[in-house]
Order: sequence, then C-alpha cells, then structure tokens
Amino acid sequence: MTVQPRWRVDGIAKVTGAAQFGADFMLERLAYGVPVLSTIAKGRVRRFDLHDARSVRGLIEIITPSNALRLPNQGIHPELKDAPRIAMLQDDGVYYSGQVIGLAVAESLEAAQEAASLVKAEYRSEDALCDFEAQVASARPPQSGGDAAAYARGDFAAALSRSDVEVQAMYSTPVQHHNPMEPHATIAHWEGDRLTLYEPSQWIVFVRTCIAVWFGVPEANIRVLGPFVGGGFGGKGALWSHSPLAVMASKMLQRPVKIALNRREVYTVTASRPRTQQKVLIGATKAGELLAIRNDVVLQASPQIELIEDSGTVSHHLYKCDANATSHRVAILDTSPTWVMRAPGEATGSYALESAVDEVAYRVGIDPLELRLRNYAEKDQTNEKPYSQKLLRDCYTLGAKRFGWEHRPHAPRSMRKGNQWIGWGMATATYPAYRAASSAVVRISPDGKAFVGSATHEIGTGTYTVLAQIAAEELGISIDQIDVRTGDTELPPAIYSGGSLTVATVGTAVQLAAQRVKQLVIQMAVDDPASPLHQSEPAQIKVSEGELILDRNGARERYADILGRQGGRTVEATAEAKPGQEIERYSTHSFGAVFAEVGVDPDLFTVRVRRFVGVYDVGRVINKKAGINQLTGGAVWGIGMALFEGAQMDPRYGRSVNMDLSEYHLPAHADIGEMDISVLDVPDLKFNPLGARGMGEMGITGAAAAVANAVFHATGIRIRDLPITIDKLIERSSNHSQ
Amino acid sequence: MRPFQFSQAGTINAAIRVLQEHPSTRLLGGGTNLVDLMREGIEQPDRLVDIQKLPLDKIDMLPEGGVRIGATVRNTEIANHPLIRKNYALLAKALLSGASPQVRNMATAGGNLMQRTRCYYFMDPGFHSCNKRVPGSGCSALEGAHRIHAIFGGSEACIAVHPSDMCVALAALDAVVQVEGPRGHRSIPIHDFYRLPGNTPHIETELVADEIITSINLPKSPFGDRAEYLKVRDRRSFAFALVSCAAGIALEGSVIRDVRLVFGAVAPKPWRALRAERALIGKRMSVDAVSDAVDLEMQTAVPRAGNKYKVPLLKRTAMRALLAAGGVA
Ligand SMILES: Cc1cc2nc3c(=O)[nH]c(=O)nc-3n(C[C@H](O)[C@H](O)[C@H](O)COP(=O)(O)OP(=O)(O)OC[C@H]3O[C@@H](n4cnc5c(N)ncnc54)[C@H](O)[C@@H]3O)c2cc1C
Ligand code: SF4
Repeated sequence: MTVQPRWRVDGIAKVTGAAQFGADFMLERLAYGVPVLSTIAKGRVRRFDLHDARSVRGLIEIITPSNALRLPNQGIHPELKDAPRIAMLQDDGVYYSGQVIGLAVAESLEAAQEAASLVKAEYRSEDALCDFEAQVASARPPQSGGDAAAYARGDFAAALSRSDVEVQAMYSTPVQHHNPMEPHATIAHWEGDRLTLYEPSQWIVFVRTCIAVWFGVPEANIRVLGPFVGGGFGGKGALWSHSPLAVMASKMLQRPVKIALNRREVYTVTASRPRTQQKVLIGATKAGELLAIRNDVVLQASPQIELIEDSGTVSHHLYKCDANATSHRVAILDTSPTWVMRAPGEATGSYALESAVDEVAYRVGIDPLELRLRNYAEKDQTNEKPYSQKLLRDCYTLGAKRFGWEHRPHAPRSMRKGNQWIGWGMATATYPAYRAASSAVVRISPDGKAFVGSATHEIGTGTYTVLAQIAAEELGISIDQIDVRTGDTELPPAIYSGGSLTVATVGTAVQLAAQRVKQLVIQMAVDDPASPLHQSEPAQIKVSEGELILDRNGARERYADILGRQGGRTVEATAEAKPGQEIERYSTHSFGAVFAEVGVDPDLFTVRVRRFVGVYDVGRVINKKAGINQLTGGAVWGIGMALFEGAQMDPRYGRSVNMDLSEYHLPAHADIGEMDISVLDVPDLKFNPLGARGMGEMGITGAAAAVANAVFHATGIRIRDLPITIDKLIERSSNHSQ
Repeated sequence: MRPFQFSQAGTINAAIRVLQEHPSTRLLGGGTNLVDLMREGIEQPDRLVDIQKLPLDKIDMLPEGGVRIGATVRNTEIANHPLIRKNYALLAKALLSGASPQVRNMATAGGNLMQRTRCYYFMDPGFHSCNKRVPGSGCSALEGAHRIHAIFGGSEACIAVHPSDMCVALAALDAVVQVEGPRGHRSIPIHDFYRLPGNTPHIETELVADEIITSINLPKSPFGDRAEYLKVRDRRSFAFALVSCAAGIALEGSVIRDVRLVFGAVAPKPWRALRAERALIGKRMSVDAVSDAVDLEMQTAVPRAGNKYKVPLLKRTAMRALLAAGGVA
C-alpha cells in the first residue's frame, strides 16, 4: 500500500473526546436504567418487595416480569438461531447468578442505582449445577453436532500402536471475560413507531434483526448507531439483556432510556469464554514424526447457549499427521452464558496442542522448533487442499533468528541470569482466514472529496483508517479528503466485525465500490468534449492526488472539475464483496511463530516474560501501525492468559469471586518485557484481490503456549492448568524437591 | 449508591462533632477505598465528612528524632518525602509497591490504615455469607475461595487479611497511631491498633466510632538501611500482596542486637513474627539462624486447603527479606 498514514484518521477525535461511544450520546429527557441481578443460581423469583425501592426520589419505574412489556417473539427464533437466549423479563425464572431479573429506571443514574439496590427478591431456589469439574463426567455432545462434535481421519489406533512414544496430558483453561475498555451500554429511543438504538456493537445489522424479531416491528423502523466501539473481542457480537430492556423501557415510558453496565454487570449480564478441559494424546516416532494426534475437549456451556469453542480443530491441520481425531462435549452449567472471544477455538486449542507438542519434543529429545519443522504440513489434510499461501517456515526461521533460538540448551533449568532461572519456549500461531458477504458505498462529491460508508464497525482496530487507505489508493484521493462512516444501519449492510474478516471482507467491498465510482468518473471525462481526457482510452487513465491522468501524454483533470461540469452531481457506487472461489480451491489460514523468554525466581516462583518475539504471515498488511498494534495486543493478552487471567468460580454460589479488574488480573505494563512483533507482509492474492487475510485474532494464538513452554524450560515444572500462578508452581516445586 | 450528606470539616473538632452527633458517618480521605465500597453498597453511611482540608497534611520531625506523618498526607508524598527516604526507606519501598501511582496520589495515610479487606466475599454483596459485611451471616471463605486469605490470626468466623503494604512497614518501625476524640487524645501502638476477628470480624480496630486518626508517629529507627520490604504478588504491579514481609535488623558486629519481622497479607493485621524475632536476638546473622527462626514462626501458621502455598512462599520471602536486611544476601 502506498499510503501509510502516520496516525489513525479518528485518532484526534478519540483523544479529544469528540468521538462518541455508546453511552456518550446525550438525548433530551434521557432516563437511566440499572438492572437488578439475581443472587441465586437457579430457581424462581417468588416475590419482589419493591416498597423501599419505590420510595427513591427520582424513580420512574421498576420493571419486573409482572409489568414488563410482553414480547411477541422471545427466546429462540429461527432467524436468530445463533443468538443466545437472554433474560428479557418475560418470566420469573432464574437461570444463573447475576442474571437480570428487573430494571430500575430513574431520572438520574444515582437514583436508578439506589432503587435497584433496594429491590428485594424472594426466591424459590432449586439445586444448581455450577461445578465444572463435577459436570465433566456427564458432558455430552453439543446439539449442533457436526465436525465440531466429532472428527476423525486415518486409523488412530494403528498409528498409535506404531508410535515409539505417547504423550497424554490434560490441559485446562479458565473462564475468561472479554473486558473491552468500554463496558456495554445501550441507549434506546422510540419516536412513534421508529426506534433509534445507540449500541456499541460488533454487528449492528444483527442487532437490528434481533430487536425487530423480539419486538415484532419491521427492520425498516429501526436504526442502530454505533460509530465508535471501545473494543469488543467478541463480547459485542451478540445482544445481551440490557439492550432489549432499554428498548422495552423506552417503549413503556415514552422517553429515551440508557443502560450502561458497570464492569461487574458486564461479567454476568453478557458472556464469557468457556472453561475448557482438553485431553490431548499424541503418538510419535523416536525421530519426532507425529503419527497420531487426538484432542478430546470438554467445554463449559449453559442452557442459554451451547456455543462451541472448538478448541480441538486447530490440531486437524497444524501438523502433517495422518491419524487425527477430536471430540467436543459440553458440560452444561447453571452459570452465565458462554460466547466467542478473540480467536475462539484457536486461543485455547493452540495452548493445549502446542504444549503437548513441546512435551513430545522433550520425550524424544528433539529441539521443539526442529520437531515442528519435521512435521511441517505442506497441505491441509482435512480437505487435501493446498494453502492459498503458507509462509510458516519463513516465520519460524526469521523468528528463531530474531530471538536467538539457536543458542538454546535443550535441558530444562539449564539457563540462569543473576538469581533467575531463564526459560525459552516457542509455539506456532494460527488462525483461519475468512471472508463473508458485505457491502459498501463510495461517493465522490463535486468538491472532489470522497465518502465511504458501510454498516461495519470501528471496534478499536483501525477500521476507519484502513477503509480510508483502501479508498484512497483506489481513487487516487488523499486520505484527508475521504470521510468514512461506519456503525449505522442506514449504510449498506456488512457482516459482524469478528473472525478477523473485516479488512478482507469490507475492505474488498470498499475496493470494488471505489473502482466502480472511479470508472464512472473516468467515463464521464472520456465522454465530455470539454475534458482534456475526451475520447481517451479509459484503461489508460490512472488516478493520483485527486486527478485523472492519461498515461500516454500526461493529460489530466481533477475529479472536482469533471464533476463540476456535470451540474455538481455526486457520483456513487455500491458494491458487495463475497467469498470467491478461493474457498473451493484453497485452504486459507494465517500462521506465525512465537518465542518467549521468561525469568523465574527459583524460590518465590514469580514469573516474568522478559522478551517475546512473534513473526506472522497474515498476507498483505494494509496499515502496519494498526496491524502490529493488533498483533502485539493479542500477544500481550496471550501472555496474560498464560500467567494471570481467569475467573474463579465458587460453585456453591454459581458466581465467580473475582468480578472486578482489581482481582481479575490482566497484565500490567510492568509484566511485559520487550515485544518484537513483525509481519512478512507478502500479499496473498489467491485469497482475495487485496491480498490481506486479516489479523485481529492471530496475536493471542500460540502465545500462551510459548510462555507455558518457557516456564517449563526455566523450571522443569509443567503446569497444565492456566493461569500459571505462584501457588501452583510453588506447590509443584515442593512436591519435586524442596 | 445511597444518598448521603456531604460536608467538609474545617477543624478536627468539627469533624469529631459530626462523628459524635451522627453515628452513621464516615470520614473521607482520598476515597479510593470508601467510595468503591459505597458504590457496591457495602458501606452505607448517611454522612461523609471530607477531612482532606484539615491541617493534617504535613510530615514533621519530632523533637526526639522521629517523624510525624499527618493523617491526610498522600501515600505518594510520604514515599517521596526526603525525611522518609533518608530515615525510613523501608516505608517508602512498601508504599511504592502498593496500588498504582494514580491511587497513591489520592490515598491518605489514615485511609490506608483503615482500608478494608479485599476478601472476595466481602467485596461482592451478591454473596450471601460474610460475617464481616453482615454479622452472623457466616463466612464464605472458610470452605470457598481463600487463596488470598489468612494463615495467622484468623478465626472460624473470618479469615480475611488486612491488605495494606504501608502498614506492614509501619509495624516494623513501631509506629504509633495518634487519635483524637471527644474524650481527648490517645496514642495507640500499631501492634495494638488492629483487633483479631474472633467472633466479631466486623470490628477491626481499636478506633472508636467518634474518633479520628490525626497522625502516625514513627520513633527514630534503630535499623536505618538495614531494612527490607519484599512483596510477592500475582503480577508485577497493581496487585495486592499474596505475602509480604518487612524486616529490620540492628547488628553489633555480626550479632543481632534487635530485629523486627512483620508479615503482610497473611493475617487480619500486620503480623509481627515475635517468636522469630526472639529466636534471632543474640544470634549471629546467618542463613541457618534465619531459617530456624522463621520456621519457628511458621509452625504456628494455620493454612487451609487453598492457601497452603503461603507457608513455603512466606518462609522464603521472610528469609530473603531478613538476609537482605542483615546484609547477607
Ligand atoms: C485498584 C486498587 C489497588 C490497590 N492496591 C493496593 C496495594 O497493592 N497495596 C495497598 O496497600 N493498598 C492498595 N490499595 C488500597 C489503597 O491503599 C487504599 O484504598 C488507600 O490507602 C485508602 O486511602 P484513602 O485515603 O483513599 O481512604 P478512604 O477511601 O478515604 O477511606 C478508607 C477508610 O478509612 C477511613 N478514614 C480515612 N481517613 C481517616 C482518618 N484520618 N481517621 C479515621 N478514619 C479514616 C474512612 O472513613 C474509610 O472508612 C489499592 C486500592 C485500589 C483501589
Ligand atoms: S473471610 Fe471474613 S470477610 Fe471473608 S467471607 Fe469470611 S467473614 Fe467475610
């Protein structure tokens, strides 16, 4: 890409507060809603005592199942099969602790909070199942069935019997919360039968569908706005109770209603990444050839939704291996729903697989990187297709070089610096490259400026900037002359911003629409006797710096001048981009190699990631700064996943005990050493015309395993239950020796 | 949040008068703990008296050579004050290991002393049982999540810890809490300031409802540079201690003349390891002497299933702090 802006086009707006996020819109007569949350895990609300709550000054209404608006379509609906079933005050059931059972609406946030806190619910409790470990035994295949439920290739038993070594190990990962910087917030505003919904969402079009179905109104009457989203990580890819309740309250009270969740509310009103338990079995020869790989996964799920975090899938293709099997089962708990989170499947699955591969390397005495190279998959064995582009070998080589991997002694506990044990670990990163259907409109106005619009989202990843760059390159108009809009359902529809597909999908739509607009203007010039380009060959006209230029003789004219002669008309084109033939011909994945150095205190077992090197092949990188930023953030999250992060459930309550950022630990700056993140930046033109495969999720994959493997290399202790905390290390070390 | 009356106290006596007349009053220091607890409905005072304007914001030398830290001096200022840096580096180190710069810029000395536990069940009213929050409701931590809980000084009613870093160093420095109330002035040695939970875990200190902390006085330290504060936590910054340790040693040659060893985050109060201290006095500074002495103290630990790790972790932390203070490491 020729144009690399120094900053994000929306950077100034964000740092000056001009950018409006979900809760920032101020409407006249705005009322504030605060949810009342259940404190039992299962049962019914027998009775509400609203006496004290009603006496709060400024209270407008308390909505409970007894006075809530009846919705024509709640719960599961064929159009919404992918949506979680959420509480909308349509019955008095309690399905988990922290579920919405009521809503206080008041003139001020404080009054609503006070009233909500004074609502007393009397429950009839039922026995709840909240202990994951206890439910593992009764886990069952998911109702969705399919590959995720069971996958097998080759003769597993035979392959295993030919193996010289077998590694069998159980890895577990905890519940993780999405924790975007911006907690969820909604403002609903009915004017007559038209609804405007301010919703920071990763999928506004779907938000509109959900509300339309639930409330039985035409989609055309609903406008969803979410021009800026303060991060989502998947958590804003669905609708949670507060959104329909804001819509309901606004309808009931005939005024706009805002519900902004606080952090603790986000943890239970929305959803989280499920706990996983992965039983990995690998058979290998003495020479390190992987003959058989199996991963039997149990995932936490809830009656609300059984969504599958398909942790096992990554082992289907990451290495050349003829015998492969995975199963996924769900343990249904009476806890808040589970949902996709950054790199669903790959984040947890690559941790288990890449740890187990490290264990194989130690069993056969082969360097972990060498072992991976010996099992390099040249094609995707799940479908026997070639990869559209796979440069993983280059990632390994370059990463190893940047890291200095060749100096690594193989034995654990063999490196020291000062009074620290040093450990080096590595892993492979991978994430599929997806495209979906999305559309965009591009306009050029008589002043020569361009407008780009799509109902996609700016979730903090740099969408505005990247779309502006793509349009700028295509139109030959400088970035500061391009106005990009997203987050508005009045714009051409787009798919969710997830699965790292926004650039590949919406970017392509913008590219196509821009090409069309450009062709229209070129045609105008060619047809116009007043233009210096009159009767030129359209294919020979290039664009640059706001001008159309004829290659041959340098004849040129500005967009503005061409359009000016057409009576000041705006030219526009809309385009839809869809997955092309690449999915039939190729397997499309991104890859990377990650390396971590940890220092571990041999007495206190404090762990610090001193260095981290990641080299990735994600195809072409449209915006280096935003791209590296995404990968770095992902890797930092992976480090946190390895060492700090995880909700701790108290199964007696069905409630996690660390529901705030003081006790739910994400890495602090001091935990992160030197981050050396780079990309190969080779366009994958077999994947799409942009050559860009997307990169949002890549960073977190492999990272946790690299850190866990480094901790093993430093200490000789393998903790298979994330996060790797001091208590676990110290308990294992005392069992060892001291 | 419940509505409350807010006022600003111009004099110490004015503050005391409000406390006396309105039992449900809380003093507002930096608010970094109190306001959070009010938001969650754990504290529900009818009145807040802001004491940040009181003339208690100075650090002064005391005539006998010690220092007086006013109750409203910010944690940051204490940590950076030349007198503290020079004579009580232990205290500065403990303070700087706590919270974040933003929190320390607000947090006051008095508020730090009075901060409440971070026990999960105390902090979230969604949990039914917590004797400290709702007396008589039971203790969820005993059979629940208690990875961060006490191994010393707990009771069957409560095993929560006092989470402060500052107070651990204060205890090693024999701080004395100065208190003012309707009945006049009291000086309470920090070792007597906190109560063990027994059957009344909701009563945490000797401070009575109508009293205000005015300052914390430190005597001249016999340890000088021979002191160390060591904190072990889940991440490198912005986390409460899993265990911590303040150690100060006065040597005559290599013989230990005096010693203070105080553990943090393992008891309802800064836990002075008296047995270890006694065992060390008169001994030559050595790894073995330190190890034996710390073991003596650790024998009295009462860990539970989920916090057993604190025993070896604390032992190693204490040894390292003592050896560093004694100049051996
Ligand atoms: C995110 C976070 C992380 C933290 N991490 C750490 C950490 O790692 N280590 C650590 O030690 N601490 C930590 N803290 C706690 C912090 O040290 C305390 O919140 C702070 O010291 C409290 O001081 P304050 O002035 O803000 O008190 P306030 O919140 O104003 O008051 C706390 C209590 O003290 C009472 N009080 C205040 N002043 C007086 C007085 N003069 N006389 C009588 N009573 C008084 C108040 O009435 C109230 O009950 C953390 C806090 C937060 C929010
Ligand atoms: S340990 Fe104390 S504070 Fe924690 S639940 Fe038990 S009684 Fe409450």
